[in-house]
Amino acid sequence: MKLSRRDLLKAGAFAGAATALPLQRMVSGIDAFSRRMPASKLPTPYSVPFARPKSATPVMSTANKDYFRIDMRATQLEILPGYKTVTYAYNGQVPGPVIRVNQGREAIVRHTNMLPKVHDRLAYEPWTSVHLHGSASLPQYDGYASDITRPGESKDYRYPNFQPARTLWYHDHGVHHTAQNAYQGLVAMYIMSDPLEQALNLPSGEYDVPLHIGDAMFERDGNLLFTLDDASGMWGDVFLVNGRPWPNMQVKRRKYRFRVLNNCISRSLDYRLSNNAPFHVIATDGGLTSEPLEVTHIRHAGAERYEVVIDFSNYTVGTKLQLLNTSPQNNRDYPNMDRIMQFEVTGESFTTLDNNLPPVLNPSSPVMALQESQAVATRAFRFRRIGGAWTINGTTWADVVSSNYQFTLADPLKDSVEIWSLENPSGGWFHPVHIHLVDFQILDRNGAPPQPWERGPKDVVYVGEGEIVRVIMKFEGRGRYMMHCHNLVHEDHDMMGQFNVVDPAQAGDDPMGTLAKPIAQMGPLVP
Amino acid sequence: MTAVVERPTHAGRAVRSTSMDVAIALAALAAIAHLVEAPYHFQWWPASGITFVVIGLLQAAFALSLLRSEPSPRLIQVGIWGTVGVVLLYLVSRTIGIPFSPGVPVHGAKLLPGMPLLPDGDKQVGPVDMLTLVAEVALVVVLLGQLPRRARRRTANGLMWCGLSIWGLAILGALT
Ligand SMILES: [Cu+2]
Repeated sequence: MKLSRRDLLKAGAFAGAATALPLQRMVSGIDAFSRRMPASKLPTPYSVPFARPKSATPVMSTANKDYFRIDMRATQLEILPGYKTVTYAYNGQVPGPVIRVNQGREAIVRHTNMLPKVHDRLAYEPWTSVHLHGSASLPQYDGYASDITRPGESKDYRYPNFQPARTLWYHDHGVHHTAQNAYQGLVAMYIMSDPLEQALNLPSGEYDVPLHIGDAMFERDGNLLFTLDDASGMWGDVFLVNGRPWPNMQVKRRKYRFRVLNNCISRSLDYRLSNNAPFHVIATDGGLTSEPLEVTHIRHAGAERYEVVIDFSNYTVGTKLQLLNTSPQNNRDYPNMDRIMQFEVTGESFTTLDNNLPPVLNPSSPVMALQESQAVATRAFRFRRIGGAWTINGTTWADVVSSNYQFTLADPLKDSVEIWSLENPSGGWFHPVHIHLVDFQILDRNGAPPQPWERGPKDVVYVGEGEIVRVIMKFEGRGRYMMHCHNLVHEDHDMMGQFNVVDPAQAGDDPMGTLAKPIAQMGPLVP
Repeated sequence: MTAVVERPTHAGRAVRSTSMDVAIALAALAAIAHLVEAPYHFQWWPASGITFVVIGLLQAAFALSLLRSEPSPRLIQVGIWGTVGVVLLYLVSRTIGIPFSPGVPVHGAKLLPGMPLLPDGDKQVGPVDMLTLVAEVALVVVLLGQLPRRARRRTANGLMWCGLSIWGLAILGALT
């Protein structure tokens, strides 16, 4: 080379300018992980007391409607003892307040986005869209990903509550930022009851316990660390049960009903009691099973709900039982991710009035009565990674957006029964597949019967590595609804599409037809 | 700075310097990176996928022409400024964003300007990006050394002004 020192200096001015900015971008990406709080600073498992999410109080109740107001705000909470963490909270709580409703009463919830205009660390605009997961809401109230509420805006959601009793949950579904928003705390339960359930006299009140299981990773200063691991998922190194790290729960010597929701962004669980004692599944995503299903463990993916009854009556006072996790394949594990929480049996007195586990629960669930012979169509959906994108049948939500929300993956007729085959050809990851609007019955997995705990009405199914899961459902309702992977990082990197339930007599409502408004333009919540 | 090492090629044709071998390798590396990444970019936005293919093919053609014969100063100039153009395009894409690239339509399909279609996908800098960028910058410097004296000085000045402008824009906060 014949470059003089002066030439080199001049070329160096260009070389430095061209590489400095990208280099800084790359280093800050790698650097995120190095800010992780060391394991030695995390609390010892079972040292933090258990807590339950508070319930929401209706603003007003009329003869057949309940009105609620939920504000989303950046809120500082103590999650790890001694540290402050900025969360995104529904009404100041993580998980958010439990909304409790009865079948037959409509609920109207005003969701207001009071989040900052830009997330201070992740540099994105936290627009939101609230999905009530498990509800057959109209399309415009279903939390359609692109129907966003931007900071400073508000939207009234209407929930019909005509379905059978179940554990639902509401969580963020805003396009491309669902994972970040839900990770920072925009998740909460919504519990609907009905006369059939009430007549069963199942454990109630303090013995009916919401159990959010989530995971998180923290920075040294106590704030949440969000990493994407090549868009495979967000994998935490701390289990949070109802927002508490590996808590210890004191239980009395009787039966408890736990409503277990895996609200991890990506992680799936396979949990059991430390003594391998059996327990009973009494409900799945869509409500009660026909009878209690005895299991010793549950493989539980994100967004699935399993309600279980655990009986502590045979344990002596002082017994400690742990809820342990054997991580299913393709999760990223860290120390202590093999334990979730602890139950400590106490001698306190209790009521025996609702200390029941009836042998029959809901023997006449319509979805569980569906027969393969009723199906008028069978469709296949392949969940695959192509290049860097997560796709369904080779398409993504970008295809829906660029078609002005017209592109669909399927167009089932209203009130028709179909069989959908959900396929994951990869050995490198699993997909919890969620179909909005419907409850479905799992027919089989790779030709074998569904797992013992899956034999109830479902709306999310674990589609594991190399699995083909067939589900059957009836499309009641009309209009366009989403279907997607519930690994929220996959969903955001676009493993989401929509189907249109077609009613020849009447067009479905437009999911983009009732948009959020600036707060100042909102009328009174209660007319 | 290394001395010019000249050695006969096996075909017995003209001699090629080590620097020219390095330039060929760098151009080929950049070409391969662009072609390999093209399908992914095509998925996001066809225009970007096509741009990747075009850049990759031009870089491959440039590497081939260096391999065939002693390049003219004019071809070297084309190589330098073409590569500078690719580098600048990349810088724009990671900072202010490429004009007309798709955004996320919201509220009845109106576009939110500056919002990438794929979240955090478009402004991230991965190892492949960095490797390609460094190869291209190195290619520019190596090619500069191949120019005759007068042209070399003029080109070095051009590169310097180009670099200073980038620094200036960055300091003014125009590149974020
Ligand atoms: Cu997935």
